[in-house]
Amino acid sequence: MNIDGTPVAEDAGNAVCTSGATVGSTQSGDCGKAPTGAVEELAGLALRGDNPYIEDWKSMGGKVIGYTCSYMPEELLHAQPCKILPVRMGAVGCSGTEDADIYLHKYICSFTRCLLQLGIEGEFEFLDGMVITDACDQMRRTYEYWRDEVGMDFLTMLSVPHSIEGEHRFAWYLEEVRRMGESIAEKYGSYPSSQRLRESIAVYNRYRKLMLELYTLRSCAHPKLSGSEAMRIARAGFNMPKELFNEKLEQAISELSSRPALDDCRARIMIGGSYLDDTFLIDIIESTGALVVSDTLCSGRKYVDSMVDEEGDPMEALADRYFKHIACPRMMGQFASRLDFTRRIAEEASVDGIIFHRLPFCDNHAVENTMEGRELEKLGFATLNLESEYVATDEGRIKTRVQAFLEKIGK
Amino acid sequence: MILGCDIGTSFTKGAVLDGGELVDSIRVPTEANPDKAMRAVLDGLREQSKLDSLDFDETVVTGWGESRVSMPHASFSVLNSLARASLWNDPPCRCVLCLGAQNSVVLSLNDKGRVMEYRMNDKCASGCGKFLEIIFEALDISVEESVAIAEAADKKITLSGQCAVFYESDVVSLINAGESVANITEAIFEALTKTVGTLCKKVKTRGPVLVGGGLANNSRIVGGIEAVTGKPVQVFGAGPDLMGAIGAALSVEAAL
Repeated sequence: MNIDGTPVAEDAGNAVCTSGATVGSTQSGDCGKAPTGAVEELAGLALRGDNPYIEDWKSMGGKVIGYTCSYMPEELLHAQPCKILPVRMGAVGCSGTEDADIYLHKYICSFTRCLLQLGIEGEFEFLDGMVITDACDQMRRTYEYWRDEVGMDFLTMLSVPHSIEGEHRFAWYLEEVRRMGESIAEKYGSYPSSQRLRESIAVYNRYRKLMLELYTLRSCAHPKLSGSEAMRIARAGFNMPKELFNEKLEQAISELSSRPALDDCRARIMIGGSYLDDTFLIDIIESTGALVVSDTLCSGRKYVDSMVDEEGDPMEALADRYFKHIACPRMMGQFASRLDFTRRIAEEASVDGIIFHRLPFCDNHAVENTMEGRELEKLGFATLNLESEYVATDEGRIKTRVQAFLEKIGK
Repeated sequence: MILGCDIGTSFTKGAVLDGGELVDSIRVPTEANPDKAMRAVLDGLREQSKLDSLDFDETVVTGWGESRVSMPHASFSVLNSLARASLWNDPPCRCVLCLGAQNSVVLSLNDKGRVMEYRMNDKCASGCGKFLEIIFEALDISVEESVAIAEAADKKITLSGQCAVFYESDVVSLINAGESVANITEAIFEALTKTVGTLCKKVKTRGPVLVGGGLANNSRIVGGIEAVTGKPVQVFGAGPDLMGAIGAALSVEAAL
């Protein structure tokens, strides 16, 4: 979509403020398409600038801010009176990184490079701004290129301490979150009241609860949907206003509940890893007859775990949830809690095996996956460690490993 | 007469210059033995043109194997050799892209012919000749027929590999999945030219890019580089792979 077509930033802020409350609700009726059901609509939803919800949002003067990390408290953007839609950025559809490679060499994580490539190609023109965190060094170091090469209009960095131990670290993170709010206030003249923040927290808590319900439909004894469908639905959630997504998701859940179960699967598999929104890995696993019934992905189950406390100071409650949610492997001193989490999810979903995925040059997940795998094997779980690029084309290599794994676990 | 020798990782090239004119040239496989390759160049020249080593006023060696040549010789750096050759080319060019067997290098010159900026490939050889050799071996086709084969491609395939080894594994998967050799070959050319294109974009250039090195004999690659970089491309006229050897000879020619 053409960014020139949107109103000037200052005017847009005021204009939407008056009609802001209706931005969400007026959209639901006329999103253009008439899909046969919510599951189908969500699973097939176009991403980024081609997404009808984002188009509607922008045409009504709303702003869109992209972010790349689960330590970015979305509610703070969602609650802005100037109407900001937070979009978790993915790079599905990227086919090569020849321009990003000019700046980031090939030994940098391919997700990071794919995002920058799409940025250079203009795929993220619909974004008004972007929040980058320093959660991993590779993503952090793209900041300069988003600023200089892509020319993002609003760009801010959220620094996240490497440990949650001690009050001072939480104070640091809280300060960072406040500072991010201030930079938005400075740019758009917008700052949310505590009441608005509470309302956004409620919307996002509902989102997380519904997503957990969707997970239950997969991890139960008689799964109602494939892992591939689930990932595509979750991806739609990154690209839609959460109020509308919640409505659609609720419909989708009721549609799925009345579906026949996928009972004759070869094996129940769980996947783990960092950010993964491309279904290639799940498609390969499911093409062998196995079913991916759950995950511990940063963009999956971990992303929707833990609610924000709706009592007390909303800003502190928000920071508390985002700082102390199931930790990214970049956090020190949290291995035991991550392992417990993986074990709990695997047990809840009664999985036959766990497949860990990592992107090349992601040191955090490379070490984490090996360590978790080692400990989980001791606990009696079968695990497989896989590596692939974000745009994975070596299907044969991955499939051979998945098939051998299924044979190993007697499936 | 000056003999310029470029000892590359795959081939050793010799160029004989007389008064700035190319009068003779030769290519022999290096086979990881620069000394032996150097002798093969001299033997070859004696055989094909009755030129003896004593006929040369100077022998200048450049390239990967230069330091391992034991016979007395003058040496000249690869980058400066390429720079000299690009100014000698008709028309002279201020930007050079040399695609060798294991190295690809792009450099830009100022008006005095001095190298202002250059970039080489990383450790990985995925933009180089050896890469094509390995992949075409997996595909069971020859370098010569590859361009014609790729022309028959009817589907775009993307390869994601980091380096030649991963590309080879991609290719093996595609062969097993029943993909046509034409489509895979085209995808390989696309991947290679994109890698080279990225390298080119790292250096600020003016005017046409002069392409040399063994891969510049391949019309699909030259065309692809033009398409990817959006810059006009010229192939080194005296024989793409002789660029280093001619440049080395010119280093003395200029001094005489």
